[in-house]
Amino acid sequence: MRSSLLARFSWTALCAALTACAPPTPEQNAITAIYKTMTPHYAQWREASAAFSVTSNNFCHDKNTLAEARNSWQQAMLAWTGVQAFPAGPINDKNYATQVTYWPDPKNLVAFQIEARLKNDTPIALAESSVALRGLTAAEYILFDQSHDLTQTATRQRYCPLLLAIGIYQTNFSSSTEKEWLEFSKKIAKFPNDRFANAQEVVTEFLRVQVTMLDGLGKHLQEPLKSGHAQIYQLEYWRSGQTQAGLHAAIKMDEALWHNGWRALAAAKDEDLVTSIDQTYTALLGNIAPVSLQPLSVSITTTEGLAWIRNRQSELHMLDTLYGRALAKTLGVQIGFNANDGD
Amino acid sequence: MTAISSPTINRRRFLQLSLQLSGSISTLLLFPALPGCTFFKHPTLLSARNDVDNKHWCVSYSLDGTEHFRTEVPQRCHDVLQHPSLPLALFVARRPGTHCYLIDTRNGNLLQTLTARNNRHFYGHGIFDHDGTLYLTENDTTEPGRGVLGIYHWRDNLLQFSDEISTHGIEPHQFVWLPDNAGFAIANGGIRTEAGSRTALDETIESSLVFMKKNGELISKETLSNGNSIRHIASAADGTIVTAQQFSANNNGAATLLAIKKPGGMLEPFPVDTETEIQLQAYSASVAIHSANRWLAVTAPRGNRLLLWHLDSGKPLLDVAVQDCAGITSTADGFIVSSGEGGCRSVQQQAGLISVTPLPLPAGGWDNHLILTT
Repeated sequence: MRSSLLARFSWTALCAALTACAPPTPEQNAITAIYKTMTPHYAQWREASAAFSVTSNNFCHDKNTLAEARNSWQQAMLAWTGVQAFPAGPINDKNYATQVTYWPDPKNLVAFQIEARLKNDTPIALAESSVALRGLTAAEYILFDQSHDLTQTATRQRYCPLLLAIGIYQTNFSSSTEKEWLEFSKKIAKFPNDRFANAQEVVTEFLRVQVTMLDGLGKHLQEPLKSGHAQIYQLEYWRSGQTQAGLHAAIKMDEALWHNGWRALAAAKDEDLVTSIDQTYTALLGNIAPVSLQPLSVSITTTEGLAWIRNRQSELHMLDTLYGRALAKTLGVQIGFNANDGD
Repeated sequence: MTAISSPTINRRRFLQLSLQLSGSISTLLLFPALPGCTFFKHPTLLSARNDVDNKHWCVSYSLDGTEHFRTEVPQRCHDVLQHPSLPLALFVARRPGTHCYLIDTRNGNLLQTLTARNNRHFYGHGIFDHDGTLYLTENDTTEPGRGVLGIYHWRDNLLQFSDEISTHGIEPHQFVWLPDNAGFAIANGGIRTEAGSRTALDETIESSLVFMKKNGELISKETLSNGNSIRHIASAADGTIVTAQQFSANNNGAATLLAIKKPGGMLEPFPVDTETEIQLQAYSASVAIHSANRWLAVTAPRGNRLLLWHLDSGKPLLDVAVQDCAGITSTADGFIVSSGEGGCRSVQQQAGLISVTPLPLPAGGWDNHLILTT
């Protein structure tokens, strides 16, 4: 009896000391699931960035073909898209996205700044250069733009120093950002801390980030049509023809976060909402499958292409609304109350 | 108009005012607290709040989380004004709202809904003078954007319109006292909107910082070179004024988040590095000054950040993530900050370090401003 009481006392004392003894709440489970879903993508991004750097170096030394260099760029871009789809933590806090992609670029600053920089014969220090020169958008210009021919040796010699600098910069940047993401785990595991008071604040932060990204994906399709006529260069990744591939990768990531994290939270409160979001993802991903379409940078000028964009915008808007209004309300969250509707 | 004197209320004046009032407000005064007494034993937070069903509330909490009242109102409010001597607070509707709600802060009872006059709406801000005279920033919608200060006196137990004076600018928002209550420093946002609308009429921004006397006489008018919209304002005990701006897409990407006007000096940009301004999307919600510490604080809900600088040196002191942070007010030892998404925070200096601590208050829906009653 005494030993039983002692054991119970010890267990109680231990539980008091370690909050981990308490069973995790549904919110904590969702947070953990979302974090664990994202973490491997940071590693993939780091690895793909390093591989891109190596392939670029090989290409510049005639050991890899242009097609191989382009393919390596595409892998890095898709890996980054997976990370960018949920930029909670360091990427959002420090506005890191501009270090990797430069979009929108209505004045074609990427091309302008690269050409201006290459006229200057001094060594390239990207950390001190414009963000337009540092990322995958600049590398895309070098590898894909029709204004120059990289199969020519002289052209390669002109662009390779910058391409190699971008590869190294992206390798280091993806590596340091992954470390910051791993550090961020401390902020979402134990409360209160200097960032979050409790798990509900993390849920709010994560949901806002996801809603903002869904809204952003819609804008990626809207931006090229804003002036009333199609502006191809306002599409992201228009030079490589990878607009749909990027969009598809982002929404796939988004769907993974839904299935692994948000879905269980929502299912406990609103089964109909779960069904609606499931169906919207199925329709959207089915319609956006990249292999069956010609590049958007080509089809955007056609009636069919425009209709395709309008339909995807509509599906993205539906998803955005389901998250930002219905799911937010179900979870008792207000998103961007002052940021979006302040005064 | 007649110049309004602003004597500090004394016991005799207070009793006169009490006797003048009848009905609900005089009921409030059956057991009045006399000048010098404190209506709140501890600092109490007053703010407008929204809930997830988009209902609008006037709320009061102690900082330990105790709710004092939560009164539902029809229109979304913005700033809160504490009456200088009575247990009353006025919650002011934001643009293009037409209501102000006079609340008994002891129980949350709605005592009066002050409705804007024809062709006027409120801009979410006001000031009570020491004698209870009320000034509210308003839009003259017959000439959209023309800023006026509506002046309201107590008559027949109610706040009633007496007069109006120009703010010498477009779209007046927050305003503060000049030293010695000699007049007002007014943030004219500079964007024209029509009655019932929050959408800019055109792309021009004629924002200005105006110093004016209480009788309406213009003392000075200054503008920012990049045309950003000056919305909010704070003053230090020495008369230093800081304005907080909101970026508008109409101003070609130029942005100055904060500007400072030292006593006798000109309005000039307060140094904020470009990267920070981009990160904050050049949008601020509220600004506050801690006079004793010489701290300047700004909330940036689009950047989800709270930032502090030294008011005089411009040295950055704090830059922390606070979701959708908006309301901020100074306390004895720092600031209280509210959030539209998350919980409220206390900012204090401890052992030489500035720390940010969560407060046990309900999370989310806190509107752009808050006050701490004394």
